[in-house]
Amino acid sequence: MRITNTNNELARQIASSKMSSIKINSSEIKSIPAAAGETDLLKSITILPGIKPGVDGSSGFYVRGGNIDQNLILLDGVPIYNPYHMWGYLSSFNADAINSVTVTKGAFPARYGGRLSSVIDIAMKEGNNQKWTGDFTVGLLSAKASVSGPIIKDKSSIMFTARRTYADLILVPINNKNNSKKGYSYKEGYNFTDLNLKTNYKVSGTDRLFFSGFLSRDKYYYKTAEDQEFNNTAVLGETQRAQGWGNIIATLRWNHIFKNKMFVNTTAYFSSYKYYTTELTKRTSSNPDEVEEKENSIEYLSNISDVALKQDYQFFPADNHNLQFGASCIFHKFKPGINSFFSKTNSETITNKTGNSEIFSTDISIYFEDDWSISELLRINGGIHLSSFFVQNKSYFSAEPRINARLLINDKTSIKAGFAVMTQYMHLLTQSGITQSSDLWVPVTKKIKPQKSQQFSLGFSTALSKMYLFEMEGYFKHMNHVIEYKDGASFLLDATGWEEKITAGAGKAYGAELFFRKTRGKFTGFAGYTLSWAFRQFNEINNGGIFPFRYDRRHDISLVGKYRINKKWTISSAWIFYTGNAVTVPTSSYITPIYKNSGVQDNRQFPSPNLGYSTPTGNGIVTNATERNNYRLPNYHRLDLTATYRKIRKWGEWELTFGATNVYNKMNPSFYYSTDEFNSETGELETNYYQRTLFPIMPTISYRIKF
Amino acid sequence: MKRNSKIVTKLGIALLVAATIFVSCDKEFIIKTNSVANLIVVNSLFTGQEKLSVTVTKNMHPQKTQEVIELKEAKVSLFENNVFIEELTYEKTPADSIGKFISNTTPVPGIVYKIVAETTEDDIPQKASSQSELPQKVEIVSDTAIWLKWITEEDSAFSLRFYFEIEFNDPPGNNYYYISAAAPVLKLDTTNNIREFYTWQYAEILSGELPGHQLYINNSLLFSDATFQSKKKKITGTATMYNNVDYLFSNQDLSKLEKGNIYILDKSKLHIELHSLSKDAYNFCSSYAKRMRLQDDIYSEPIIIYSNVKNGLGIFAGENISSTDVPIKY
Repeated sequence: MRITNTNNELARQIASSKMSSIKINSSEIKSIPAAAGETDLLKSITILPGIKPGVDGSSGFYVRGGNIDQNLILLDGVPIYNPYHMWGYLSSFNADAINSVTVTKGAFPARYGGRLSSVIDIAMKEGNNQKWTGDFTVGLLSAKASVSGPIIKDKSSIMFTARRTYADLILVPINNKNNSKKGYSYKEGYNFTDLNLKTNYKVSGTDRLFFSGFLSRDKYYYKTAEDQEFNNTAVLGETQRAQGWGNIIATLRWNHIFKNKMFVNTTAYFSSYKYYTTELTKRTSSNPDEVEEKENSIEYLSNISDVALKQDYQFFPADNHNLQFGASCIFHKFKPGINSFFSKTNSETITNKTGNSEIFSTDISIYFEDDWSISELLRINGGIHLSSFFVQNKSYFSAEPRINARLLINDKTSIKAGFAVMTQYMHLLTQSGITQSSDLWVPVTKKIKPQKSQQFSLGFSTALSKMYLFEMEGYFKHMNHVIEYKDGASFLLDATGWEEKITAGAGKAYGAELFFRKTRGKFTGFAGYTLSWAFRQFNEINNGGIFPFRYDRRHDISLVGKYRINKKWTISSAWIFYTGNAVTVPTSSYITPIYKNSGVQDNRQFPSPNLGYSTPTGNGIVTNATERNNYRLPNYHRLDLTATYRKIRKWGEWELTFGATNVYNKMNPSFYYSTDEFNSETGELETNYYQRTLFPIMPTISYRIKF
Repeated sequence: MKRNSKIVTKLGIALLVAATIFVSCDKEFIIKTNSVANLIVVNSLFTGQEKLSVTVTKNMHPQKTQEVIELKEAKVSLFENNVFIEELTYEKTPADSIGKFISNTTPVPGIVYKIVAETTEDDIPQKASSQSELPQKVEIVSDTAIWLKWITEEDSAFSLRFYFEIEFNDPPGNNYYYISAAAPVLKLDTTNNIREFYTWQYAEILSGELPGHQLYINNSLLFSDATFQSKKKKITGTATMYNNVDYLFSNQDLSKLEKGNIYILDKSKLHIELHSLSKDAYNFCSSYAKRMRLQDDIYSEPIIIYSNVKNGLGIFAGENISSTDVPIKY
C-alpha cells in the first residue's frame, strides 16, 4: 500500500515510524503572537500538546510531567544550558537564526540520550550561497539584524545574526541623571546580547566543513559613588554590584559521504554556561597624613562547561533499512556555586573561598538504530543507547532500549506505538521549580544517582483531507531518582552543601494528547488538547505521601490560527487555557502543643516562647498546608492577537506587526505572597495573601525590513 | 494606504491606553472557603512523668483572626494496645486560656496509646484519632557544667554562658533527642511576688558528628542518633542566656529587686534535660523548628508541619525525659 496523499508533509507524518514528535519551521514560529513583539522559540513550543509552560515570566517548560531539567536543548546538535535572557523571561534563541525545531516528547530514537522528557533539536539556518540577503527588526524589547550570503559562490556561505536590548541605551542615562546629585553619582542598567554565526565550506564533492558559534550574554549593573566627609577628611565611598550570565558555544563539524550509501558527521564542540554576581564596596580617604583605603568584595560563581567529540554515521544498506550509529565522549566541568571573599586594607589582605567544590566527569555513549520497513504496512525503528558516566571515582552504566512501530491502516491512517528507557546524569537545582539564571547544573555523584525513566506511548495519525491532520496519543511515564529540594531547603539561610539539601524520589505521569492541524489555505493553524496527570513521591517530603507535581495540569488547550486576508494583511491569534498550577498554600490555622496556653511560662517543655533567641517559637498557632501542592491556583487563560501589514518594494519588503498579548486582560497569577498587616478594626496582626500578575494586557509592536 | 495608517494609529493608541489602565497587577488572594476543611485538632506531647492529657480544638481559616475554638463537648477516649481504657475528663483552670482533657493514666514505654476524639458537631468530621508510644527513658550517666564568663554586648545588655558536658548510652534502634539547659532565676512579678523558676538557655552543641543541619526549638537542640547508633555518646555544648539578665549576689536584699527584671542566682546550678522523643514527636518538632527558622525566607521550599492525627490535625506523640542538676564550677 502506498500513501497517495499529495501533501508531502502530512504523508511523511503518517508514514514515519516517529511518534511523539512535532517539527515546526521558522515561519510557523514567527506567526505565533509573541509578548512584546519578541518571537520566542521556547515559548512557542509550549503551546504544543504535552508541553506545559512554567509561570508567566519564565521560559522554562515541562514535558509530559517531567522536570524542567529533563529537556535536552540542542543547537545544531550541541547541548545548551540555561538559554535564557532577562532572568528567564525570554529565551536566548534569535528566531531569525533558526531554520526549524523538532520537538520529541517520547518514543525517543536511540541516537538521543542524556535527558528523560524531551529533545528540542534546533537547526540553525545555513548561509545563502547564491546571494546576499538581510533582515532588520525593531521590537519593544530589542533590535536584531541578520545577514546571509556567499563567501565563495556555490562553495562557501555565512549567516550572522545579532540581537541586543536597546531600551537601556535610552532609559538608563535618563534614570541615572535623575538619581544623581552633587557629590553622588548613580548608574544602574541591564542589557542582553546574543550572536549567532554559521559558515560552511565545500572542500570537495564528498566533504563539507561547518562552523557555528553562539554567544549570549546578560548583564545587570549598579554603581554608586559618594563624596563624604569624616573629621574634616574627604572620603570617597563606592559600591558596585553586578550580575551576569551567558552561554558560549563553538562547533566544528566535518561531513563526509562514502559512496552515496553512507555518510558521517564528525563534530567537536565546546559549550559553556556561566553565572556570576559580584559586590564591591570601597572607601578611600584622601587625608595625606592618614591615607586609608578599604576594599571588600564578594563574588559568587557557577559554571558548567563541556568539551566533546562525537561521530554519527548514517548508512542505507538496502532500500528498506536506514541505519544510524555513533559514539560520543563529553568532558564536563561543574562549578556549582563558589563564593569568593576578598578584603583589603592598607595593612592586610584577606581572601577566602567557600561553597561547593569543582566536579569533573566524563560521559561516554554509543548508539545503534535501524529504521526498518518490514513490509509496506509495518515499519519499525529500534535501537539501543548505551551510556556511561564517570564521576568522583564512581562509574555508572546504562543500557537504554528504544523501539517505535508504525502500522499503516490505509493510505491516510497509521497506528503507532513506542517504548523508551532514558537515563540522565545531570540535575538542575531549581528553587520551587521556577527557572532562574542562577539555577545550578550538577552531576550525579557518589550519593546522587542518575535519573531513569520508562515511557510507553500509543497513538494514531490520520489525514482527514489534503490539508487536515489529526493525531492522538496516550502515554505513561515512570521516573526514578528524580530530585527535589527537601522541605525548607533554602539558599539564603542554609549553608549546607547542595547534596544535603536535596532528596531523591519517584514520579509518574500519564495522559492523552490530541492535535489537529491545518497546513494549507488562507487559514492555517492548529488546535491542541492535553488531558494529563503528574505526581511525585519522596520519602523526605510530604511525610512520604504521593503529591501532585507543581505543573500537574488536568486540562491544557491551545488554539493557534493565522489568517491571510490578502497579500498585505495577515492576522494571527493564539488562545491558551490550562488548569491552575498546584501550589502549597496554608488552608488551615490551628494550635500546636507549643501554644502558650496559660499565658505564663510553662516550666516543663517548650517553656519560654518569648526568650527565644535563635529560633523564634511564635505563639504556637500555625498556618499549615495539609500536604505539598495542596491548592490549585485559578485556571490560566489568555488571548494574544497580532496583525501584520506587509509591503513589497523594489529593494525588498517591510512589515509592521502590532497587537496585544492577553487581550481581555485576564489577571493570571504568576505567584502569590503573604504579608502580615495590622487590622485597625480588630487590633490584630493578620496574614494577608496577594497574587501578582506579571502580564496584564500588553501592546506589542515590531517593524521589520527584509532585503 | 491612508485608511490603513489611520487604523494602525487608532489601534496603537487604544492598546497603549488599555495597558496604562491595567497597571495594577496585585490583588488580594482569598483562599477559597471550600478548600478549608473543618477538622478536629488533637494535641498532646505526653511524657512518663505526668498523666496523659490532650487539647481538642477546631481548626480555623488561615486568613482570619479568630479565638481558638474548643470542642469541650467532645468525647475523648484512651486506648492501650487497642483496648479501651477510659474516657478523658475536660478540665480548665482559671489561668488557662483553653482546657485539657485529662486521663488517669501515666504513660509507660512499650504500650501503644491511642486517642479518639469524637464530636457531634455537624460541620466537622465526627471522629479523629491518633496513636503513639512513649520512648524508653535514656538516662544521663555523667555531667559537668562550668561557668564561662559574662559577655557584655554593645548595647550594655548582659549575657551569661556555661559550658556543659553530658554522656548517655544510646539504646538500639532509631532514637531521637532534644536537649535543654536551664538555670534557676528569680523574678519580681507584677504582683510584687518574687518567683523562682527555670529559664531555659540557648544550648549550642559544640561536639560535632550530629547529622544534618542542627535544628533548635525553644532554644533547645533537636537531633537523631544516625551517626552514633547504640553507642555511648558525649555531647558538649554551651548554654547561653541572652539579654535582660542580671546577676544576684548572695547578700543582696531581695526586696529591692527591680520589677520585671530576671536575676540569676549566685553559685547556682545548671538543669539539663535529655528528652527522648518518639519519631512522631521528632518529626513534629523538626518541622516546627524549620518553619520558625525559615518563615521569613522567601526562597525556602514550603514546610508542612507534621501531623499524625487521622481525619484531623495536630500531634499526639510521646517523649520521655531524664534530667540532671549540675553544680556550676567556677
